[in-house]
Amino acid sequence: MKTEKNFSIFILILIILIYLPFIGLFKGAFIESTVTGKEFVLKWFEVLFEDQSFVESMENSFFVSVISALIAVILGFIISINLFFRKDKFAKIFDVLNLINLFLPEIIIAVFALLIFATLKLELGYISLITGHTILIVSFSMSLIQSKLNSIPEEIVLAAKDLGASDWDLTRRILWPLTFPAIMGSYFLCFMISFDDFLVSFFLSSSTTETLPLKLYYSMKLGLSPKLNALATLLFMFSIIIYMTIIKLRRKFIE
Amino acid sequence: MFFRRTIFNISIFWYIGFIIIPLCLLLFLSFQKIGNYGEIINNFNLGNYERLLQYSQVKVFLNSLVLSFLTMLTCVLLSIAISYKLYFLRRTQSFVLLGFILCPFVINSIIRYYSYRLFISPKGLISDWFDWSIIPTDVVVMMGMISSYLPFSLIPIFIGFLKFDQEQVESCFDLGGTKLQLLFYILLPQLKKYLFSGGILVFIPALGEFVIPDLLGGAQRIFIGNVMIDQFLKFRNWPMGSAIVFTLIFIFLLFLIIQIQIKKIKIREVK
Repeated sequence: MKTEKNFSIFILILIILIYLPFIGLFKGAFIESTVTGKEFVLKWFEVLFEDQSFVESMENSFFVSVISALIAVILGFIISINLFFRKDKFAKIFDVLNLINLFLPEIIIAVFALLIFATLKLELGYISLITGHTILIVSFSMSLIQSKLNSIPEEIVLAAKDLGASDWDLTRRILWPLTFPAIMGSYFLCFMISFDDFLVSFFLSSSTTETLPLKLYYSMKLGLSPKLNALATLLFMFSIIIYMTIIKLRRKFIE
Repeated sequence: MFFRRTIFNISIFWYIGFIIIPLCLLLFLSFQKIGNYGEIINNFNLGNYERLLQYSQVKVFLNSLVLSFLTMLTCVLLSIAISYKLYFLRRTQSFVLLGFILCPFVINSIIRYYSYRLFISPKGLISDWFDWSIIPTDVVVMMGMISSYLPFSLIPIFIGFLKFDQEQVESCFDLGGTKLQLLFYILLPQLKKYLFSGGILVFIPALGEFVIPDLLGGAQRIFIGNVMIDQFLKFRNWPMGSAIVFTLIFIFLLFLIIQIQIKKIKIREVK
């Protein structure tokens, strides 16, 4: 009984410890101490949106993440369809390559993309950012879609083949609609990973294409301010909303 | 057949162009040298790897290895404790609690580090009552590492607990075993592979970590990630950086092979 209680207290302390820093974050963004006492203010959000560089980096981040998640999902679908049709020794090699891609830390993927762009003598900018992010997230989208593809009952595929469907028909009429929920889910996941990413952007962005995490990092190096608190609060809300959407989507399609 | 060939070509193009060619480039670059003006001189030598064997570089590697190892150990122990607690709750309850624990990890990592830094700054929430300066920076960095890598070990280990054979647990209780005996004699020995994969999932990304020591520790102790970024972005010494990256990749491949080997054993056991 005693260990039971100890464990409960341990979990409670853990949860409190995890959440305390964020409470400090919100407090810094909304509450300002004045002479008369503590006041609830929204002024730091206004200050944030007046700063053009923050708005610009927000736009950059959205643009890069939307495009690279789209490319990653399409590529992931193509690669997993390829693996679905092909069950020979090439498939094993692909599996190993995908595992390597999934396992490599961000920093090495960033170096990969940097090397590609240096060898091709291309300038860093949006294209390099999108390429780097796509390399980072394609393996995530692929593993999600692939696990959905593998769960499709064999009878459906065999029935379609019996009725004379070509590979293209099979993909368009059966595999695509059946995997669509997984594709949507992986799109949001890829978007989130790309939106969160710091290291790849750190290596691949030019001075005009700073993403939001980068901007936050550089401002943080200069010092902490309520403006950053406001920005962090906004991003916090945004992440929570996106993940809620993912969970809702999954539940809807599973039921 | 045309369709199959097209998708095959696309996927092979992706892997060759964006994984295999950069890997080869990296290997090639790591044997080059840098000239006086930052240009890359094309002659095959092992100078970069020799430099890696110097004391200062070995120390950096050791720093990183120790940090990731400690992170891995703490994360695995914490995950065992949490999943063991959640295991005895009702399913819905345990999932809600797990959601509560994992919820902060879905938000942007830089924001998390920002809020941690705010928390330990003099303006932080509990700084009036608690003096953060008595805690050494290394411990702060460790706390940051653990708090950002916990999900990587918690999720596999919790899945392992969920999949565990219920009958064994019941028979343990029938034979008069206590809960702690259940944990140490029955659960942990049989969940070894989940513990191992959870540990590896923490260890590998933690090895290349750059942001946490930089932001929370003020870059007082140098880790591989910092050295790598300095070589690539500050000193523009790409051959040296490539040598470091390649050494890291070598370590990762070692772990990957171990992981695959474990999976093979698992499949054989099932058969």
